[in-house]
Amino acid sequence: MVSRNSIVLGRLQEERKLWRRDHPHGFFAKPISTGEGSCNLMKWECGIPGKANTPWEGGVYKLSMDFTDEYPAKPPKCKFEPVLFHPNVYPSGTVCLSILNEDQDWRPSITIKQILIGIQDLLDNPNPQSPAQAEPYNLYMRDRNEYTKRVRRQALEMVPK
Amino acid sequence: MNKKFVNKMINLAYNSKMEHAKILVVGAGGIGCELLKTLVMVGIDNITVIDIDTIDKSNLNRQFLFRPEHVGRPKAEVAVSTLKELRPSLNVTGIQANITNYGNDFFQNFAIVLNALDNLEARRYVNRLCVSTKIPMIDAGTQGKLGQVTVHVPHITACYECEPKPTPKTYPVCTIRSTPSKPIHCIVWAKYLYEALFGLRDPDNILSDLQKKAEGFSDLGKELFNLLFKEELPEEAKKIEISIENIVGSQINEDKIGSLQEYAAGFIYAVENLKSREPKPFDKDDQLAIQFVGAASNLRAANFKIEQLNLFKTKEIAGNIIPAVATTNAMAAGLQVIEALKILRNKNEPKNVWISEHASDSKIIVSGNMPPPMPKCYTCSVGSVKVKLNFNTFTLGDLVSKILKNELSMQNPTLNLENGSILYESGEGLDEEDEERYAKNYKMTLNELKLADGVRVSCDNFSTDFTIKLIISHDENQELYEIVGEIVENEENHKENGENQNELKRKSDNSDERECKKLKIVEDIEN
Repeated sequence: MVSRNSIVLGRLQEERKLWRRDHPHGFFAKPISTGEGSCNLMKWECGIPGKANTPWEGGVYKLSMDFTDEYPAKPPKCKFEPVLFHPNVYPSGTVCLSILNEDQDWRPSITIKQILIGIQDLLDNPNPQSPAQAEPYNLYMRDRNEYTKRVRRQALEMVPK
Repeated sequence: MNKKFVNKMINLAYNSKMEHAKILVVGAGGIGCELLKTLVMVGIDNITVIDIDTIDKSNLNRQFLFRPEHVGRPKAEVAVSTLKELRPSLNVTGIQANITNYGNDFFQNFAIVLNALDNLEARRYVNRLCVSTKIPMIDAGTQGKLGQVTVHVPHITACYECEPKPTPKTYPVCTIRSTPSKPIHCIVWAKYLYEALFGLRDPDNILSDLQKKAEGFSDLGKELFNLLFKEELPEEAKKIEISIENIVGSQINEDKIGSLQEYAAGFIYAVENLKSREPKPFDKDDQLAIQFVGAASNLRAANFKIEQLNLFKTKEIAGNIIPAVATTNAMAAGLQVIEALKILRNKNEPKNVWISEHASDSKIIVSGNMPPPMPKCYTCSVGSVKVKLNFNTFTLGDLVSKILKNELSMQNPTLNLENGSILYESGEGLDEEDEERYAKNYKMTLNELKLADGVRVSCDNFSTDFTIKLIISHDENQELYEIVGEIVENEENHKENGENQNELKRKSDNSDERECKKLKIVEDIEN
């Protein structure tokens, strides 16, 4: 059996507890089930609701969070699954956001809740300075109406059952 | 080291208690070989050494217990036979195995554990076992001309996991994909590219989309060149303005920094040869892979106006090559032995010793006191309870209700394993899926849950933050359960939950007579 870094596990146990005690409405975040009757703290599945009164409203966007043995010194890897149509989401699904960048604004004290709220904010406020996916970036820059239409359509596809 | 110091060392060496103390050496590599030799030279004669590896030719330049004829044989076994040639009366045992297959029962045979390991995971494992068996652990690590030795006496000095370890730098996706600013960013990018195209082809690779694009290319080398270094670039990058129509692939030079034409030729040469080869992961000794990474990283460096590097330097960075220095290993091992002798003689403050490359105050060996345990350390501040029970009949529900709720007065425990798995949770904030899974687990025996003998389960009470570690061993004849020995507890837990602890009924355990040796500071050997 792998012995994980106890600092990482301690922190993730704490995060799990905090989330169970209180979390923002409409979001979910939990360690992923590994099938055989257990789930693992090192990988979480999360859901981020689109904000009301934005084209993202209605959808809940699924995101996976991968923690490494270096967390919380390094941020988790956050990846939309399926890949999200968004200027700052790489074709692999990975989110490009300064608080998730070790060299920029990541701090070990940032909680899972804060990450998810930060990403929710990014949905309707894309950052044109760091394009990550060509098609949504180009549409966003050139044809805002068409971009909004695409986002609305995506929200409909991601309404939770 | 001055004369007075050496004299003191020799005095220490002639001590009968010490000579027969049982020592565990984990690892028989660079540091391990030096350590074994030095232990034997100071008169220690009861040693067990464990190492999973066999001897490779590349070990021979610094692992002096091994000779060319030993290549391919287990390190632990050969080390032991070489030591016996030196001193036939030695009581040494060599085990070829993974240390993580051994639990408390094995560790508690030893007076001291000396680490000569090369990875964090094994160190963490040994640390946890030493904390729970209360055995002092002396760790050593070297990197080129740098080294460090630390002494971890459970509950007296910091354990190996009290402080986070500095971690190797990783680079965020944005830096690698869109905003490189240093040669290393280009090399990391080129390595990802190699893996995406000719290596593991992991779908999680941050450049996996480029692999998909390249699938339709007929002239892979040239089309890929145009895509990567001319087309698929952020606006601020500079396109490489050379025509590659007439360029013929050829290898790039090891030592010199080449022209863009040469790198383009190198890139095409590498791609043409790699595309017909079976995919294999990046390896610094793989000439083609290095040619590819060297050419691609320098072309990208030109795109972003970053300094270029020759192939030799690129290889050093790409392969993470840090030379192993035999002298540093010998020094680290020597310092470990000094610290071990101090513990065996029950004297002196355990030290944290650094070997540095440049002398400060005309010393290259600098020492400081070991810090005390961190009160919030998840490894050594958490109390532990050893339990014996029958894995075939005892269920997780029994564990929760009989041991955690009744004995330890927890109300809503969460049970975690050290690999990050959650076995059980209770209390508020669980969804249906969770409840269902845990209800199922509750009825299963520990055996059905695939828990191994000696498993360590971290148990955390949701409503009060009280945490304790259960170390569970299998006992076929146990009808119910038995709590073994003393409960090692931590002051902070004690303050909050003192009343729970006192209610515990414990059976005494006669086999567990060892008491943690309290180190007394008598004198400082170095002064």
